[in-house]
Parts: sequence; structure tokens; C-alpha cells
Amino acid sequence: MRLNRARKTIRNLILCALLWALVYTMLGFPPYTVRGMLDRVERQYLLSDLEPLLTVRESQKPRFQFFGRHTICLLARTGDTYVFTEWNRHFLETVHESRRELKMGQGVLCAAWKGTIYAAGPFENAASAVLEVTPELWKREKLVKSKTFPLQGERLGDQVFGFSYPLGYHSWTFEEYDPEDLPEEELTLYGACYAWYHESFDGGGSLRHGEVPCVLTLYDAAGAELARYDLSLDNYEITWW
Amino acid sequence: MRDKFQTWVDAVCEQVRFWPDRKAIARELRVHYDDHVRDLLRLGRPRELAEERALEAMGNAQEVGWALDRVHKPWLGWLWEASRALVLLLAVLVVVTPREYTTLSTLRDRTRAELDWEEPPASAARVELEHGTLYVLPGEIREQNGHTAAEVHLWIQMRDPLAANGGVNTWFFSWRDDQGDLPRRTYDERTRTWTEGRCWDHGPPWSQGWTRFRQTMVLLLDRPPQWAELSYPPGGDWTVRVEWEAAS
Repeated sequence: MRLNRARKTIRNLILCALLWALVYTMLGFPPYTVRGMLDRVERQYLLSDLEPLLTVRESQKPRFQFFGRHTICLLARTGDTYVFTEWNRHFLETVHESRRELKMGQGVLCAAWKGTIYAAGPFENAASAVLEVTPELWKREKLVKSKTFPLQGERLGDQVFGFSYPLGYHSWTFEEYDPEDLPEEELTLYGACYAWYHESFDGGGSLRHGEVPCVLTLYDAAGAELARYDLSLDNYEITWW
Repeated sequence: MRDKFQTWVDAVCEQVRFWPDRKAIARELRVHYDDHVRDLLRLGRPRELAEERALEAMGNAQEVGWALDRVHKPWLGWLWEASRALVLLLAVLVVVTPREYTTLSTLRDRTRAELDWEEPPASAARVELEHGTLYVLPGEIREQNGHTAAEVHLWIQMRDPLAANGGVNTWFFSWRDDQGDLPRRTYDERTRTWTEGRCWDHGPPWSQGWTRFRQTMVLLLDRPPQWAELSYPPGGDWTVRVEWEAAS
């Protein structure tokens, strides 16, 4: 049967729909918008009405790759539940970052990503915020050392403060120093979260997961303390970038 | 006369707005014209006369052009071209798309789990969620490594398959029983130990369909529970209670 142009067009469009469905299925039904990502989180984590509070995007264009790689971090809330989620997009693929689980918190949430610790909560009345992060060095069930890093907050949204900290490679090796004796200049937040949670063994070492205590303090315009929250971060959040 | 015909063809094609078709139109008009010329030559007409008559028979160039333009609609022409390009592009994408996200075995397993779904018993507690329904039923109570393990069976039925690929995640569920809160069982890398004593963990069976999910949770307790409450999200937008005595 010879088809006219209109019928050929309809046939092609049907074929396109089928092929797209196949591609979309093969890609694992990726979401392409912030709303789509939050819809996915809602369904996956049995939540409802997630409202985006902050979207942080970062794009990279690796050499020899035609399409760039985009990272999208989302802070969202539903009621007084806050979530932090990270997605990676490359051409048609959009996947939830597999190395970083979704973080969920009640009342207040803090999560670190590439040199910034984001804290979300009912902060509308706060004029400023300070986050004190305290990495700890434990040896044989005993707390050997700890250091508190106070970080000044920058308002990023009605309910979000951002706390920047310097990232960087350490110039020392574990052969040179015992983590306990690390020189003061190497004891940055990043350095402490790396060295104090590192475990050496014959032929190598690894970074174990550990909770890093944080205290978030909110202040009003007059400098009076409004609220104080005890929170925690995983050391991987601080050191991984 | 060749030039005269070409001029006529050009005049016809100028009227056709969908320019990609002009070449094919010109080719077809030439076939008609050549057939007519050949017929006249066969009837014994001199070539010059035959060509002249054949050209006259082709009609008014502008009118023919308008008629052809009505048939070769630009919007349909461009839509057709676009659909062809799109089919080609998508065919290439099918070939180059990585298959690790949804493999054939994933499709098969999800479909099987979807079809194998058994409705939860009527006695199961039920929670209506924004995107689905959750059913909770108390299960078996047994001894496990010096603890009492109380199973709780979950049926989760979503309204659409959007969550299918990531599955349903219940890691943030919070449980409490008649003795207090139960933390999730976690591994402490510092002490290299799993949470001991009262806690909860995931257990078998586990099945993930497209919209239907089954899961069992195990509450590790010191003694058989009378009841347990599940609340979610962490602060508890909703709470559902399971009672073992009532179930038995």
C-alpha cells in the first residue's frame, strides 16, 4: 500500500513516540526539570508536596566530550520535613547521584556540598547564623582530639543559610604525620575531616564514614540568640567534592 | 524547445512554496512532457511541432503551479521532513543509549513482581498517601540471635509508575513500640559494630513491581511486642499502628 505524505507523517510520528518510549525506558525514566526531580523524590520516598527552597547547579564540560555534565542539588521541604538531593545530568541521562543518599531531616537539615554547608529550616526571622562544625578524632573508643570551626552564614533564601569552607588537597601524607600530630596549618575543616576519619592499614588506607557534630545558632538583628540546633554531617559530605 | 519547457517548468516550480519538492515536481513534469512528445513523434509529427504541442498541452504554468502548491502544502512537507529526521535521530539514540539503567532483566522482574502482587489481607492497617496507599500487617514473632524479631509486612501501591526505577525507599521510616523509639539498624564504622539491641531493619521478602512494592521490616526487640507504630516522615505526618495480639 502506497501511503500519502500525511499518512507517512502520522506513521513517522507514531514511530517516534515508540522509539522515545524505548529510549526513555532504557534511560530509567529520567526527570528533566526541578519539578520532575522533586516528583520523583516524592514518589520514591513516599512524601508529598515538596516545595523547592534552593537549587544549586554546576556544569562541567569535560574535554573530548560533546555534551556537558550538570549537577543539580535541591533543597526542598514539605511541612517541617526538609530534604537534600543531588542529581547528575549528561545529555539525556538524569540520575540520582548514587554516592550521595538523599538526606532528610525534621525541623532543620544541614548538608554539605562542594565547599558549602547548606542549612534549611524555619529561619525567616533570623538576621544571621553561625555554624560550628566539630570534627573529632577517636582512637580505641576514646576521643583524642577535636576542633571547632565556626562558619559565618550567608542567607541564600527565606529558609536557607549557606556556610562556605575552603576545599583543597592536603599537601601531607600519612607517612609524614600521624593524624593526631597534624600541624595546625593543615587543620582546616576539610583537612581534619579527612585526616581524623582516615584509617590506615597495610598497603593503604580508607576514609570511614563518621558523624561530624554541628551546632547551628541563629541570631536576630540585635545580635541576640534566637535558636540553637544540634545537627550532624557525614565527614564524606565535607571531604567529597 | 528544451529551453522553453525548462522556462515553463521553472515558472511552475516558483509557485510551489515547499521548495524541497521542486526537483521531484520538475522530474515528473518532464516525464509527462517527454511521453507526450514521444506519442506525437510516433504519430509522424515533426519534432519541433511535437514539442510545441506537448508544451501547449501542459497548460498554463501559473495555474499548474498553484494546483501543485495546494497539494504540496509547506506545513505538511516540513512536518514530514521533521518526522523523518526525528525517526533517524531516535533510531541512533536507541543504538547509543546506555542500557545499564533499565535492562531487560529489570523489565522482566518488575513486570513479574507487578503481576505476582497479592492484595493485602483486609485486616491490614491502611494509610492513604499523596501518591499511593500503604498497607501494614503484623507478621511472625521469632527468636533471632538472642533478640525477639517481630516482622511487619508492608504493601505499597503507587498510583503511577514514576517511582519504579528508583523503587520505594523506606529508610527514613521511624518505628516505636510499647517500650519506646526504635532506631534504624546501622553499621558504626568507628566501632565496627552493628547497632545492638532495640532497632529495626529491612528483611525479606522484597519485591519491586512498576506500581506495587512489597517489603518486610524486622523489629529487633528485647521481648515480644504488643504493638508497634510506624510514623513518617521522621516527625510523623501520619502514624499507623500494628497490634500483634489483635492479629493473632
